[in-house]
This record gives sequence, C-alpha cells and structure tokens, in this order.
Amino acid sequence: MKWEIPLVIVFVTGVILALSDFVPHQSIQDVREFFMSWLQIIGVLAVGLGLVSLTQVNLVKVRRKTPGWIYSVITLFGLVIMLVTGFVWDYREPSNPFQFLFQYALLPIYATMFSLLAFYIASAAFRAFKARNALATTILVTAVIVMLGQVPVGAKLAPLKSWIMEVPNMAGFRAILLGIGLGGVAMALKIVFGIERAYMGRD
Amino acid sequence: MSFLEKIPRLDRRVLYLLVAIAAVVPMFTPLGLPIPTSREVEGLFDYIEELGPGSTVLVAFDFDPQTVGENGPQASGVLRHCFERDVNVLITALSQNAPGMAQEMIETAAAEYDKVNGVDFCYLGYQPYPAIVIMSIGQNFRIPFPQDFYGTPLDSIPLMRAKQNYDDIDLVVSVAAGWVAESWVTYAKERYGCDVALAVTAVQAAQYYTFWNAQQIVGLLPGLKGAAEYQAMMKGAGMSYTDAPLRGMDVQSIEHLLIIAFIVVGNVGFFAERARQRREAAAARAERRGER
Repeated sequence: MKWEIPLVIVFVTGVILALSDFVPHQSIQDVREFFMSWLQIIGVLAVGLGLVSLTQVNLVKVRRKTPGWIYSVITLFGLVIMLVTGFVWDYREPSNPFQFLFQYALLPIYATMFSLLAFYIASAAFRAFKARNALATTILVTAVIVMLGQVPVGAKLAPLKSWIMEVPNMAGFRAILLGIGLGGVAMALKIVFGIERAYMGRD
Repeated sequence: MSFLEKIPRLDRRVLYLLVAIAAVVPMFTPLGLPIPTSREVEGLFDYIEELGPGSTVLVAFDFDPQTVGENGPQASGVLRHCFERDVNVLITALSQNAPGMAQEMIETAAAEYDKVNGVDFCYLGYQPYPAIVIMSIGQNFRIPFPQDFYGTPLDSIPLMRAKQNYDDIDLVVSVAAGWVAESWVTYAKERYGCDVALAVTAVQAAQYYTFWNAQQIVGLLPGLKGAAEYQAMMKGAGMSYTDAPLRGMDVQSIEHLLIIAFIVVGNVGFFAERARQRREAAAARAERRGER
C-alpha cells in the first residue's frame, strides 16, 4: 500500500488536470481549482522548508568555522534583518526600514551581480571567440552581425540581424521548444501511468 | 615573442578597465545616436495607440531587481504610454522581488499623470506560482487576488467591479526576465484568447521571436533596445518620455563595438600564436631530419 496509494493519487490527479484542459464543464474546472490551491499551499510550505534548511546549513558552517564561514554569518544576518523588518513594518508603506533595505541594499546588489556579466562576457569574447574552423567562424560572424544590428551604431545591419533572429534563430528555437514540449508530455504520461517512479524515491 | 603573439596573454584586468571606461564615458557625453524602430516594437506601440480611453491593459511585472536595467525602462514606458492614452491599467507582480519595484514605478508614473488608484489603475500585487495565477485569472481575478496590493477587496475598487477575467481586458503586457512570459502566451493567449505582448531581456528575446513570427504575440520589446525604441516612438508622437534608455543605447553601442574589437584583436593574437607554433614545429622537424 505504501507504493500503491501515491500511484493512485498521481494517476487520478494527472488525469483530472489533463482533462480539465479539454473539458470546459464547470464541475471539472472546480476540481482543477481545488488542486491548484493545494499546489500553492504546498509551495508556501516549501518556502518554510527552505528557510529552515538555509538556517541549518549556515549555522553548521559557522559553528564548525569551515572556510568562508564569515559569508554564512552575513547570510544569516541578512535573513534575520529582512525577516524582522518585514514583520515589524508594513512592506506596502513606501518608506520604512524594510523598504529602505530593499531599495538601497537588495536592489543594487542584484543589479551589480547582473552587471558583472558584461565584464565576464567581454573577457570571454576576447579569449574564447576564435575562428578555429568553418563552424566557429560562422558563429563568430553571426554574433558580430547580431551585436552590431542590435545597436544604433550598426543600424545598417538591422535588417540582416532581424532576418537572422526571425529565420535561422527561430527555426532552431522552435525545434528546441517542440523537443522540450514532447519530452514533457512523454515524462508526464510516464509519471501518470506509474512507469516513472523516481519521485517516490525508487526507480 | 612578438607583440602580436603576446596578445592572448593580455591581463584580463585591462579588458575590465576598458569595459568600465566604455560604460561610463558615454553617460557623461551623450552621442545622441538615432534609434531606428523595429516591427516588433511598433506592434505593441500601435496596439496601445489604437486602444481608446477606458480600455484596459494588464501590465505584469515578472522580473527581479537584477534585470531592472533592461526591464525597468520597458515597464515604465508601457505604463506611461497607457496613462498618456487614458487606458486603464491593472498591474500584477508575479516575481518574488518585483512588488517593491512595481509599487515605486506605478506610484511615480501615476503621480506624473494624475492617475487615481482604484479608478485609473489597480495594483494587484504578488501571488506565488505565476502559471497558476495566470490560469486562475481566466476564471476570475478574485480567485488569485481577493484583495489588491493595499488590502482593499476587489469588489470595493471601482475599476475592478466590472472586471471578471480576461474577457474584460484588451491586452496583457508581460515585462519578464524568466519563463513567466511563456505562461502568459500559453494560458492567457492560447487558452483564454486574450492578446499578449512581451517585453523581455535581450538574452531571452531570441527565444520569443518564435511567438512573434507565429503571431501569438502582438508585440515584442527586446531588452534595452526595445525600451529605447518605445521611448523614441513616444517622443516622435509628442508624448512625454524618459531619455534614460536612449542614453543607455549610446553605452550599449560603444560596449558592443568594444567587444567586437576584443574579438578581432583576440583572433589576431590567436592566428599569430598559431603561426609561431607552426614555425616552431617545422623548425623542430627540420632539426630532426638534419640529425638523421
């Protein structure tokens, strides 16, 4: 029964949710809505679980003074201070300590992390983008055309860039997306019919 | 070793310094390069232009602070355009860190155009699991959002009283930095028949041209370039606009030219080194033949 009950739950849920995409009747839509609200509840519990896990992992690092433990202290400090300010002050008010930390600490940190990519991309372009053979040269030339066509200074190349994006690029992406979609359907069917059972902790 | 052969060993800090200079200098000395517009950006702009006063657009803030440099000007441009045309705006923020940013942008734009919360726009806020929220809106806004961001029940908000689901809105614009954009196309467009436009980061845009060419979306704003084109069109139409994305395109132009220069110089160094290696190998072979 330990294995059969979860399989029955997955089968019934999977079939109902798949049917709800094709059957517009209100009864099946109500059942779908019920399952959807469960998904949100489980998601919220997962956030709680993540919070406990993050705290435990970093506390262990601090206690054992493992290399880089100081970063764990900073992580825990950030976690506690955002939680406390979030609970004490209304996050919807435009100016309070929570909003201050969000606007002037979190936001610039995120933006800085993303901006650093520009430096790494420049370095990678210099070191790795080499015309070693015909294929590499094709990629290199295409990349240069797209980069130039993307900015005002290379406006003359914009039509060629648009063609690259809308024809060869689109064909490639469409193939990838179709592959992902078909793979997803196959995996879903395997799970619904109990062929794929890795989610229960065994093959 | 010649100068050309030394190029591949160039210290990466020199490259970083050049990138930093190329980013900072155009900010202080704007180049004012012309911004040609593309069909995908015109698609969204024209769609909103054709909406009459009282129409409704849902603007979804589906991005986190890391991409605010690209997504921020996009969201701000679309919001301002809607307010300029007296189009009602509903706003959602389905990314965890988006609500604070969205709130600031909405309040700034609303103050600029004298728009009233609950009458001209409604900020619905954040709910977890974007795909589920997007699907639920198809049934009723009140399922995922019983209240707006400020805690007011939807039925107490004048703008929302007659709004039930996608049938009551004209367009969804997802300003996104992740897969959420795809969910709007999958559910809002394909399942519920609501028109959708996307404003995404430049990296992501390549993926979404498939939707544009298949006419599944009415417009596409790719990265900062999309935001700059949008602002240029607003400027051309005599509307108020922000020139930050236009200046940003100056920076991007110089940066792209610099990266192309890096690629060229890197390849010169690569071929110089390969030629040296071939010469050395030929010399070694000749030496071995001489010894024999």
